[in-house]
Amino acid sequence: MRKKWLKWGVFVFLTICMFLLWHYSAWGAEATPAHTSAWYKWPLILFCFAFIIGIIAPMTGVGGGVLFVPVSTALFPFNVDFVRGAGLVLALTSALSSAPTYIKKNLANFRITIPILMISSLSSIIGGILGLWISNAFPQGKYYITTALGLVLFLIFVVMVTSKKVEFPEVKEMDSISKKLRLGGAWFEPSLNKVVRYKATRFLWGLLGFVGAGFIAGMFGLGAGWANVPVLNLVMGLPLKVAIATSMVIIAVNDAAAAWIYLAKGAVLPIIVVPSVLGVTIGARIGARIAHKAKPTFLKYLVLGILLLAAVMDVVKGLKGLGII
Amino acid sequence: MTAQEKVQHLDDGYFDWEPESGEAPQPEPMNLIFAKVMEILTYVGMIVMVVFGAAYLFGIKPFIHPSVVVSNWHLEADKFWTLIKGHPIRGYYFFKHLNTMDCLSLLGISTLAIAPFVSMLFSFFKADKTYKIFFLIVMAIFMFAILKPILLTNLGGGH
Repeated sequence: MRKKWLKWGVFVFLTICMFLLWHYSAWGAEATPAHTSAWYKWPLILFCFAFIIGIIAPMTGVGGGVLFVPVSTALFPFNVDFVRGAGLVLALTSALSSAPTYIKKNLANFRITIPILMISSLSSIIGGILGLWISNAFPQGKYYITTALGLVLFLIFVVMVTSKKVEFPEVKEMDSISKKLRLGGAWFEPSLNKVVRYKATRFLWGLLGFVGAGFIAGMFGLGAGWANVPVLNLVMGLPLKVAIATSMVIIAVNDAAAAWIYLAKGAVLPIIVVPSVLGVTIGARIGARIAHKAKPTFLKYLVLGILLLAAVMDVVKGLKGLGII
Repeated sequence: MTAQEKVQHLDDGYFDWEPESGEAPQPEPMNLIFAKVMEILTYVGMIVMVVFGAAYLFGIKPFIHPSVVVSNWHLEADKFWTLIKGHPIRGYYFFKHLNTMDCLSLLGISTLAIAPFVSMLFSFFKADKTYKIFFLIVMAIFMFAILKPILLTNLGGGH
């Protein structure tokens, strides 16, 4: 009971601290043109920022994009269009780097991925088109997007706090579609020293979950691992390792499709993308090495605190821009 | 419950198709070719993006100077490009300016973004009939995302 209060105390404290910091800092002020002569400091700032995200993300199982987009939107002066473009490329590079390894280990499987991709890639593209249309077609469009992003972060926060992962879910009976498509597989699990077999179920329910996950990924430039993994694991009954691996392949294809929408709109700027990708990639390698030494519970609370804080900051920034508060 | 017991239920009632090799099941050919093509294109894309991106950040031959980007990046994408180039971007402008470092860096990002499509194209030939249809649908959706800005002017084409 005491631990629970402590946990929520940390959340509230972090939120208040960061809100005050944001409120009184120049970053939190309305975005204004940056000083032209000092442009060279930005790649460095972005690299350091992404580097820290890269270290934290793998230790807590959160994708880099999920932290990068909301925190950048809340803190940095560049437009939310460019933040989403960069976030999408960030999530894409992470997914592309890990997906081939997962497939070769037989943890990710096309028998399961391709039917899901038919729906999720379409919703991801629609999300990308709609997101850019809203921010460009309406005078206050970017504030609608910022507010919506804050609300999505609340959703991610709730999902992360409440969802319980099951390492080996028990699938008693496959549904007819999963059976027809032979949605299952096997991989060699070194920790058990044996071949683990799995099969999927509730295919249509899973598909419904991916419509929403793909849409959010495309619209906000977030990787959708936070949604994909619970759907694959808890709804479709795939083992946790398979769910994570399959989610990476789904993210790789969805984000690649949505990235074209942002590229064609000129919303991908190398000055933001290159230092961010480098920072996250290098940071992730270090993060993976020190993960076993770090205290995962503390880090999880830290990330949850950052997410909650970014959610509050984005909602406040959006509502301020809309003149509501 | 031991870890062995935990997975025991997974061994019951498994499909009639068994992995051929004993200890480590091998990925299906369509999975394997997908992984290999994706791996190669990811390396190529990352190298092109980072090398030319770094050159751009050192101020070598930019399409838009970093200082101009930084002073205008608070604007929405359409307003940003209208201010800099006189009109919003609708299409893949960077393919026309591959003599500049930032556009070459974007070519690297495009390589990353096309990697899953090319990988699926290779996997297509290794898939069975049902999955060939699935592959075609996903590839068609992907093609729509790529070609939409060029073909549908009113929804974001032109220039």
